[in-house]
Amino acid sequence: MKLRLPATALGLALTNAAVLTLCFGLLLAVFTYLAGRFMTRHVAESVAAELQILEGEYDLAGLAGVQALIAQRLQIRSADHDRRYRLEDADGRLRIGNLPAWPAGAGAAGSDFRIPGLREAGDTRLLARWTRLPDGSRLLVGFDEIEIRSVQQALQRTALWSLGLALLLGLALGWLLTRGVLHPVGDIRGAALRILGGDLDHRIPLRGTGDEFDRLAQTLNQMLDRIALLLSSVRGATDNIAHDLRSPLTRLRTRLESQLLGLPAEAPLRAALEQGLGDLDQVLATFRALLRIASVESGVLRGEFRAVDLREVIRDAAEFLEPLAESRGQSLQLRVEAAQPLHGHRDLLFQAVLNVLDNALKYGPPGAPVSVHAWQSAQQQVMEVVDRGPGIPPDQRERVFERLYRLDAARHTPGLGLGLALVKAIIELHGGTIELADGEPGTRLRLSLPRPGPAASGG
Amino acid sequence: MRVLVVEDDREIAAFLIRGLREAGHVVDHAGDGPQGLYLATAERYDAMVLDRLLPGMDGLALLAALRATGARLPVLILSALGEVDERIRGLRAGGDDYLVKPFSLAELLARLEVITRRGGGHGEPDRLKVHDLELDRRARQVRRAGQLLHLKPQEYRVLEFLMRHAGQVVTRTMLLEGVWDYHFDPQTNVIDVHISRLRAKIDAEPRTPLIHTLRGAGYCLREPQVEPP
Repeated sequence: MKLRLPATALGLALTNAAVLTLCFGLLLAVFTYLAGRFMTRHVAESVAAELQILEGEYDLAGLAGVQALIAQRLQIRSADHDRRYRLEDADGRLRIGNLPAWPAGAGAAGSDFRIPGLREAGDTRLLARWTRLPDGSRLLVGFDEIEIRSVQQALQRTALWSLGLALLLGLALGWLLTRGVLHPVGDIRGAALRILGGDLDHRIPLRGTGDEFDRLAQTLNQMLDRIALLLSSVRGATDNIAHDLRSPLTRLRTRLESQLLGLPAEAPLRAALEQGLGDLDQVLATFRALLRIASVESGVLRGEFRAVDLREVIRDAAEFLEPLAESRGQSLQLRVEAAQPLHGHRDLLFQAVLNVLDNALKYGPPGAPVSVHAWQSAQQQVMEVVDRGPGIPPDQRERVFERLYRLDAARHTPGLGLGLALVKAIIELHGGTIELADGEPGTRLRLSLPRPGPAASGG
Repeated sequence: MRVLVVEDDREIAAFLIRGLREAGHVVDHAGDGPQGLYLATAERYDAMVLDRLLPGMDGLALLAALRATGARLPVLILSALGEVDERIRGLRAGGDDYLVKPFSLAELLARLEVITRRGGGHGEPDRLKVHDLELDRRARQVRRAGQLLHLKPQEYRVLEFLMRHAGQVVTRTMLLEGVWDYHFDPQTNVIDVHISRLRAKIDAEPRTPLIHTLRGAGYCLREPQVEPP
């Protein structure tokens, strides 16, 4: 299993803090353990040394000497230290000592063992050892491990403080480090969002540090430049031609209409000129539509967004198309649920809805209804239009949104092949999506527009 | 009426002048912005046709300067830019209407007619009457030769718009803006369907037709004439 950490500033800072704290904790644990072992050895050596001293006293002054020395030792009372002695003769009777009974847990002579302490305050286990004196009496010495305790307690306190400190330090360090790392990533993301939002000339700002992030930004900018170049040359094929041909066509139209103005009503040339004018208007309509799509795609119209009631737009469009539907024996079955106003361009949304409904009527068979259902979910407002037409083959569903693309089946119906391209441009201008699916039978077209956040609805 | 045309393209200007004169107007022409502004402030005109892009001075700048003098002369802006937002910028700058090149002369004349008649100050009458067609706005009733006609709300609105502009040419775009309040190039024949349905109710045989289709221009609702136009 691969552990995946969230690459957010907070996530990275937390991870960093956790690792740092863990290392620190481990170090402290090892230190505490080693210190404990060292202290224990020290106490054990003290106990062994005390026994040696007492044994030496026996050699010099016998059992009474030992007893006197222990009595002397017992008089030195320390508040901190708990030191226990027990000297009993060969019969097991207590000669001197402050340990009331021979401890049950005592091991063999000369080996270290622990016995429970007798003091009430504090914890108290004693490290003890005993030895048998030459006359058969037993001598036991037990020292407490107070140093170990206090050192350990001090260590624990220090450990807690330093762990807290390590945690804070780790968080702060992580925050700083990841901000340094993530900030440029945020810049790149921000730039990408702006470009997505229609500001196609925007580029990722360079920080001038020449590091990996700057080089990445540079490469991405180069890629964007290249895409922009490709896009403009592709789009130029339609839009620039439309733009460039507009002036000569305007002149042509002006000339034709001027000629018409001077002709008497019955002139034989009149019909030809009028037909020419009609054809020209068709061409101009295509150009206007292409330019309009380009203008919508450029995103500049976002400046005109206002609060728009999508329900009203849908109802208006349906009402507007009603005579057309009726003339073909069709009907628009509307089901429009309550919805809040969204932030958008009313005229454009009307045109998008109109084109979609017009299309559904155009490709739906005469006499069959077209159903329109609009509703809103938590995030978006949706309009779904289902016709009973021949439908669109799945492999062509994306292509119908291209400029001037027409289905084979639609070649003989009037239209420019720009309607859905404009719809797509309008919906994308609004940050929405458009999908085509099988209407079983027919086509199911779904427009989804994002609902405004609290910030957007105010403006 | 007296119209000032401010247009730098000679051919289009000549076409405009000729078309406006044939429609019975008196026309002056300015070939650039400063001259246009000079004429507009020095002379009295009933309307101005103003090109959006002019040498010397931008059309919108001219308009702003003109409006700053307090002149309320109706202005129709012409533009080759054709962006949707251009329309709104033009209207905001003080234009009364906006037309995208290439336009048809009929559309231009129709819109010029509307903006010069607009703002007469007198409130709109409750009853509109053309020949024997009567529209009562209070009761929302329509009668032809005294006989009540049953119109759908939408048909009523279309008829009301046509009757308000009786005798004027009304283009498809003007209908869309005036009746449905949406601004765009319809590129659909739906409006023709609306009109033909309305016509079936208003002008059914053997009545004298009042709604006329003008090829390449739009529609006109007018009094029957003795001679065909």
